[in-house]
Amino acid sequence: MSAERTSDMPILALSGIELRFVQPLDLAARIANLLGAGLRTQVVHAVAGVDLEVRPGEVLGIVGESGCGKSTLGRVVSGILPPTAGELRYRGVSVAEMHGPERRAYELGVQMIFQDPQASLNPRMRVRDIVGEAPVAHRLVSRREQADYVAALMRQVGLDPAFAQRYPHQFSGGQRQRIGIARALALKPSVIVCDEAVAALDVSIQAQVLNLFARLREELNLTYLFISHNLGVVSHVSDRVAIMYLGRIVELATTDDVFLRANHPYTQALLKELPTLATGRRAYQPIQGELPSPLDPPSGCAFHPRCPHAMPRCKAERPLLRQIAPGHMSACHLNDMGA
Amino acid sequence: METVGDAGVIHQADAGDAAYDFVVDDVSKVFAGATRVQALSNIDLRLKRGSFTCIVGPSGCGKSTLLRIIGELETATKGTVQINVPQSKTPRSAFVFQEHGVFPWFTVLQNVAFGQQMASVGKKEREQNARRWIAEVGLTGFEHSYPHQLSGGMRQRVAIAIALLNSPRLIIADEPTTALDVTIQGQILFEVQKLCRETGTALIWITHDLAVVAGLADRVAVMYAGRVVETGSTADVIGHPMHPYTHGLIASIPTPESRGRPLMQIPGMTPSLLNLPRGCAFRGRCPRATDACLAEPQPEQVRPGQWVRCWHAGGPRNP
Repeated sequence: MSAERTSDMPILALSGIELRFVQPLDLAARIANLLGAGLRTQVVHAVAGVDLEVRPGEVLGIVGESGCGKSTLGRVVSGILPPTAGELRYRGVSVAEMHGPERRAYELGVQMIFQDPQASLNPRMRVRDIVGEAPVAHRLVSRREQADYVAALMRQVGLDPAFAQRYPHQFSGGQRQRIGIARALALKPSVIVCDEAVAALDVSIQAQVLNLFARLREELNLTYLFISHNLGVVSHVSDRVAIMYLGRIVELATTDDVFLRANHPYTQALLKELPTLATGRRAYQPIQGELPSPLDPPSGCAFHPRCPHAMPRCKAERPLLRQIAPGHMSACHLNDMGA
Repeated sequence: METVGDAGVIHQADAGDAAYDFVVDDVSKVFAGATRVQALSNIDLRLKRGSFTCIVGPSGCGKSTLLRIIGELETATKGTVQINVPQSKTPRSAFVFQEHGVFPWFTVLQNVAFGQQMASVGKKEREQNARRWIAEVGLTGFEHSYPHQLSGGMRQRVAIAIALLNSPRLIIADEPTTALDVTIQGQILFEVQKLCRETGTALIWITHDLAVVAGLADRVAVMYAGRVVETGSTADVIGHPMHPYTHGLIASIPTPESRGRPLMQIPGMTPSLLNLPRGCAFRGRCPRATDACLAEPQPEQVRPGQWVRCWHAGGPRNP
């Protein structure tokens, strides 16, 4: 395979990825328009131009508030949602131009683990079928080998293979998440997109699942895209972190750079609210207001209405994601001031 | 025993129960249906007015049941809940739930005023009161919005305004911010805590994430399998955890410093309340377990105001 020859080549490369959700006018609105109501179709820019490279074997954390488009980005990467514009490349080949076996290799190679294990597992299927159906359908294993294959996967994620005949509701939340992980691993993926994969779990169970992710990464040489709003979790698992705000990446750097030398005012504000076990009286300086609606994003830099350093320029001109130090990208006009 | 001005929970009544405004005394709860579920066993809590108590524990440890008993939504099988606040018109307690309890067909103003409408308060007065609390939770300008037009954090603020409106003596918050972003969680928690301090309302906050409340709560009670296993001031419980479960809970919180190392994890799972093990319920997962743990440990004071239910209480140690 070409990927083995060039290990420096990004396993996933996104350039100018955009995803717009369009809500067309319904009949009532069209009739109202005939009468001169002037209603327009609503367009949500869930992802508005993301450039990102994911290197083989790394864990890339994607952080942002609800509604910033991080889950949508994860769905684009895993092929669930086709991007409206831009190009997604897997091992150097554009996914949109893939056909046949190549396309299949991408679809199996990028798997997803969802937030709610209860909702993402079919309640009427036994674990044996949830985990074992896809590899048989894709002829990774024969039907005769299915039981052994499922048992091996269950052992790998720390479940007792004797439970293969059970249904999802007979497991606890942490165990169900392990079933979701086994299902993703069954297709021998190289990239796993974890969308808030530990957010629904108790802290002690969350630690077990995070340790499992770390162990599987070592054993199977996996690449993770780790999507979460929890900065503590992301700081623990990630090699690099991308901070998203209203559909765009505002800062992208190594985990140390982001947590020790945050550049973007939004990142700095997020870090101030990182929950810690420090027990001293905390005085909150919360970020002013909440995430603006992506239906009607602010002009210029989307963060300017909440930014403590906003200047007139921020309202007029959108800052581009630029390199400010080796491997450290940030999208803020303040970086032009010091230069 | 308690330092002056320190408010919150202690495990046993030394100073006399009269010194506390809310006394939960030896409360047990059994759900007896087809199967017998021992949801709570011998819970003792003491709260003072204006204090902020946090209850931490895994899902299914009985924390919601305890709060439902304190809030009179459920009756205890054994034990009592006393409130030593002089009778007045104000209600005893108000709830804030994880799923914000707001009516989707009412505006924010109607939602907040609804409680007083039911109490036959005049329209002018109740709207005035409602507007005041809407302003207090920072929703001025959204009085005439409907819940679906608000974000999750804003809806939760509406629920908090509803709870605060009648100036209850106790606010019981059952994981109200778990569904929200960390940024909004801290913000809401901080505001509620401030309002409760100002109005002298006691606040009980349930969570499974200690990090969220560490900087704000006065006292912490750690629950496990229907028992309070450790309680004390926030600084003591987080700074010097004495119960092995508390220690595990704190060590398993991921931080930037823990990167590249496996997190400390508590092996196994919470035992089912249907079939609790004999003696200490944490025995099966505990690194310190010995034969002594086959007998039920009783609360023991390890430091002024800090109580632990463990035969091997002590600071973190290497296995």
